[in-house]
Amino acid sequence: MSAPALSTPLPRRHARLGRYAEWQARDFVINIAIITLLLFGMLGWLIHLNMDANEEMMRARHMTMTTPMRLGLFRELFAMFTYVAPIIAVSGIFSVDRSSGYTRFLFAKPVSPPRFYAQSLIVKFAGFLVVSAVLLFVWSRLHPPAFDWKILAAAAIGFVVVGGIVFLTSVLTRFDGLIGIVVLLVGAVVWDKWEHVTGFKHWLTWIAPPTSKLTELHDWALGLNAMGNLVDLPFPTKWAMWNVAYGVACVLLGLVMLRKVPVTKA
Amino acid sequence: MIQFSGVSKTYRSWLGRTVNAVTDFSLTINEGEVLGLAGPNGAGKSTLIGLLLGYMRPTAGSVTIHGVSPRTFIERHGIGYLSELVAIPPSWRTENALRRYALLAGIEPARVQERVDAVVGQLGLDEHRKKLIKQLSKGNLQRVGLAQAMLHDERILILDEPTHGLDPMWTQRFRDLVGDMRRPDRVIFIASHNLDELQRISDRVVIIDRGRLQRVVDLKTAPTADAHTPYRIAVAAGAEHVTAVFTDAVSAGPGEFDIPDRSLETLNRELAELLSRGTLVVSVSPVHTALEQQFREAVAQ
Repeated sequence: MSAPALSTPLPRRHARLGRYAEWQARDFVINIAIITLLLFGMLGWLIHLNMDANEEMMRARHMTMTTPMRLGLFRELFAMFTYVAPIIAVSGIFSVDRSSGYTRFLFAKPVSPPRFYAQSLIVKFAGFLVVSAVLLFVWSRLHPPAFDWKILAAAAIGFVVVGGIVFLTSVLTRFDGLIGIVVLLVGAVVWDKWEHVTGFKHWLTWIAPPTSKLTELHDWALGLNAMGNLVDLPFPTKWAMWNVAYGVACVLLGLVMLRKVPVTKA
Repeated sequence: MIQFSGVSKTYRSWLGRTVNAVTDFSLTINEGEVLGLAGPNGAGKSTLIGLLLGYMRPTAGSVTIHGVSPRTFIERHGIGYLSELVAIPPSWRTENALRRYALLAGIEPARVQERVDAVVGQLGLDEHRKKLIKQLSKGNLQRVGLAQAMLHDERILILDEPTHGLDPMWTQRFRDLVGDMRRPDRVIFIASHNLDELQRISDRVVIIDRGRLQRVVDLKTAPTADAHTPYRIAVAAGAEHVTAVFTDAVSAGPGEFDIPDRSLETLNRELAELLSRGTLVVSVSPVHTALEQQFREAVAQ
């Protein structure tokens, strides 16, 4: 049954989401980029001081701190960054808007929630890459590794999978950051325990987040194997693809769920 | 233009407890109408508005706006909405918040500033442009909420407790604004606890209680001669005759009397008798407005 005609035409219109991206970028800088730069800047500074102290000590014993040793310390910091920075960037992306009531005005406008949050996620991804590049550039002035696109690629893949998981939890629950961390930890334990067993448990590992396999990407990006030797490692295609696919699947599921869940509190 | 058809909404908790917020609600709202929504606390007003905005789905029945689901309508055309609690990120500045909402409302970037300036002027927010949202008083925040709803020339305006926190001057100004916004092709939907306000600005008022539609009061029709309501009468002289003519009158203060329910016909006959005895009447008014009376009856049922 068609609706009765209106007295005057009702034209379609769309939110100027492209222009709104500027505001989302501004929010990223103020709320996320500054705190991420401060946090990892300070951690990096502490490791830098620690390296200097170690170097001093080793020099006294007529030894030198080798590049693999320096890269090993950087690998620890980089691994922490690829897990924590996406959580800082993405947690609360929807859950805060919903629980604070901000969605009420946003979605009375001609804008679809999935498009709005997909754009927000893309802006955060771009912002994350810029923050990663800035931190890596500063670090590369002090210690190895040199600034390299491979390291940024590994960081980007980390964002896709960790950010994707946190995005999905943000759509489903207001405790998204906490639950995201628990999911990542459980995933790491499941992969560690059951990857090489046979049967149901092995298949269960393929449902669990594969983020623990990001270490393979970190090793590739730094050219440093698990034993701490400098080697030219092949690109871990399987784990890169699986992590990206897992993250993208979480994002898509989150976008679908944005159509299903109430966008405001009752 | 807006159609609620047998709409029910039940909330279910994780523990399986259920609350029926709205039950079998049906209503049609036509273009050009200013419709009021009244009901006691917990009557289901917020749920109805949430359903109308497509923020949640009905458990049964359907809500349509011009033949499509609310979310489809809003994503194609937008809606002007002022929520009961104005929630805007506290770190945003007033003018920037309005510029953001203007872009989301679909206003061309080149016209954003012009529209922001217009609503800022209309709602007297000029001196608050650069303030952070968290620095605004409740009344000013309410005006910012109203401003963002008025940024675009919307065909549907949903205003939930619009005068909440406004001072008397801005409450009056709001009534004037609603008068200005009234148009043959526009629907204005106002939920309020303030029955006096609804009586002044609405064409019809829907009264709901315990999630059910109790009655729809058409305020465009004049009260009938047999309508019964209590009155208050104030006299300047001859007060002694009041209790003689109105035998059931009760003193309500110096020169004032409350007269229980009676029809307009009876009231006028008794008033004529009172005047003939030389009493100087200052005023006669219903104790409750027609809407208040209807509300009391509907909610008491």
